[in-house]
Amino acid sequence: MSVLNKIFFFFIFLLINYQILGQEDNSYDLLTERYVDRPIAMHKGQLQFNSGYEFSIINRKYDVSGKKIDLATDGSVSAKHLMPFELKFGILEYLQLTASTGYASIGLRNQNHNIGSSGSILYVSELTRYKGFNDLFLGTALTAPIKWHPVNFVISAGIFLPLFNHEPDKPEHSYTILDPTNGSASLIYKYNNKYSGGAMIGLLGTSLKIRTSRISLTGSFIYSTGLKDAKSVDWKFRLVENEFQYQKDEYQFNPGITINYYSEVAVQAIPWFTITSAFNGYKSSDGWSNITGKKVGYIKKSLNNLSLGYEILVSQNLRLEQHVILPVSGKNIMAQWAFLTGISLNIITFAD
Amino acid sequence: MALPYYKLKNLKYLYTLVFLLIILFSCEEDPDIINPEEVNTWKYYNTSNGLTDNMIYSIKQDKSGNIWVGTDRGGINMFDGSKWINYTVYDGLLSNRVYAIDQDADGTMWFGTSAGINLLIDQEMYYIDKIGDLPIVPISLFNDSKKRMWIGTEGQGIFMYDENGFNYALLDKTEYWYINYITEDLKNNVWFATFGGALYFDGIAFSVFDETHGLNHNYVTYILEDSWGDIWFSSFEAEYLTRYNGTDVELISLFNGKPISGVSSMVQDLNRNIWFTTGGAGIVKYNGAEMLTIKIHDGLKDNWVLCSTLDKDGNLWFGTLEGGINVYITK
Repeated sequence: MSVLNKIFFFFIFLLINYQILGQEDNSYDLLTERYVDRPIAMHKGQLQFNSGYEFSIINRKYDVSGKKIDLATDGSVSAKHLMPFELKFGILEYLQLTASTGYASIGLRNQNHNIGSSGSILYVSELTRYKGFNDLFLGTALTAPIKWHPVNFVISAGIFLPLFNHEPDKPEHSYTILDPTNGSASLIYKYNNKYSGGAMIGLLGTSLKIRTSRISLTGSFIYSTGLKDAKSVDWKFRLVENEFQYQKDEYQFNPGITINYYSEVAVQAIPWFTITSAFNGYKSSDGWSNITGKKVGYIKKSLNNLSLGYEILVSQNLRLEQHVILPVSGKNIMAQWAFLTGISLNIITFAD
Repeated sequence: MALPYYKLKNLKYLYTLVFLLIILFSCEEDPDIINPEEVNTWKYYNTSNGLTDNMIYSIKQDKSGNIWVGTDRGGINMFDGSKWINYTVYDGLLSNRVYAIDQDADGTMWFGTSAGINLLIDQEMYYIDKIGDLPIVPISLFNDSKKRMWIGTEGQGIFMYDENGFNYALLDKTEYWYINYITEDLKNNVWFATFGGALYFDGIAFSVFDETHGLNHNYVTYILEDSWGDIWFSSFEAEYLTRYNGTDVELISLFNGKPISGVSSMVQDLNRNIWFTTGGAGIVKYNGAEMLTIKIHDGLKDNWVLCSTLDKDGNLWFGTLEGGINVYITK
């Protein structure tokens, strides 16, 4: 178990044990705040642990013109499993610290194709796997000291640190002769990538929440950019006597700029049950890599999603949320239907 | 319930911090970054936009980045990045049929024409129509790492020009007198693709690599050393390509098992793909494991491709029989 994992589990241990000790008088009020009343950032002394599980079916892609292509028709539907982990702490009433990461497992299939005709056919398939922890995000959120309850305004900043191994492992391509007489064979490309991005990324954002007694409107805008060029490796391969040989080439890249936007309407049906609907998306640009020795830009990508969900205040400390996320438009990107179940564990570590 | 909002006394520090972060995150566009939308696209040059002929025998980029093109009946066309400049018999060329082009260490351009050699020195055209008393038809030229210019001819064998003048390689078999292509490997052996197999010169003597050594066919059209250090031999007659690692030979099928069409040239791109140009079957791209055929319906203007080269920007230039030059933008 790595040092980071040990620290992580130690935090979880502390968090669970804190609950047993009980809280100050007003902590009950703070922790059972209705969704629409809740500020964007944590209260002073509030410690929140968020996690969950997101299952996605990558079943469509959008081409350069934004045209939707159904991946089910070519048999290349893929799955993604994601477990996010987030720890938030309100160090002051206007200042929150955040640490987050996530573990994911993705298997992307390319459309199979055959080369040759009757008798001698090469059957080609491709699987690209992404597995592992995402980069560690450390962030802070500053709440504007507006005392007028309907408005809550937050400025946030943070950094993604590439602490986990991000370089792809050696591929596991295989070549199998199916019919030695005619020369038919099966060729399987299997790439083993990491989920971690591997680049230091800075982030700056703002969020605004407008609160009424039954409804809240939230909007946020986040700008992120690669702070410095990162390194990774590209595995070159070739087939020699039916066995694959590999060579590792180092290259540099920069993830470029990403703009995320999010808007949400929440309706407080009853004090412990909230229905939410959100529209979110992102656009990325200006990234590049020099795998071939030339600096080639990444193609611009964008994706917009609609989501519908709810949150239940299960207990003073525990909240449960579930969301369905559907892609509505995009460019140059694969898109997914996602089903997210999240839990949020909250305690007030000390009272004001 | 009244929430315990904290009084921020020094708001100006917060705004200063935000301002500094905005400056930190702002960045300028890098002019060196290649637009990804231009990658994996075709560009075409033919008689409608600057070439004097659509049949292309040779393409070569010089040290300044200019692209030189030898044509069947249109002489030489030079592309400086924005426009084409033409050189024909009216400019001093011995013939408008130009088989081979190379540049020597001094920057002189050498042209192998059907009537002899032309040299372009400081925009002045010179010619060598005979070496000794022998008229020559140079069909391949190569300037090696030792600054020697090798001249491969059609039936007259191999000549070499160095600081001592012209030298003639005495080769016993007449099949060795037809030199389709000349190149050099990383060990500084100079290789010659001939009708009788491949020859290589190690600095002292010529040796033969032919069917007795595992070569698929002795009629060799082209020789390429790939980025793995293996040497490929193509032929216009053979069913397979020959890959040689210095010890062992492996025969590679161009169409994943199907008989090949004749291969006229080979070129490796920056991504280590090898591109084989064929007579009538388009171009075949080899990624190390599978062969992908590229034909007219994939963007080529002619399935007969005679020559190829990789430019300094990573683009692939293909010279065709009737379709002019097809440039594939790939980085």
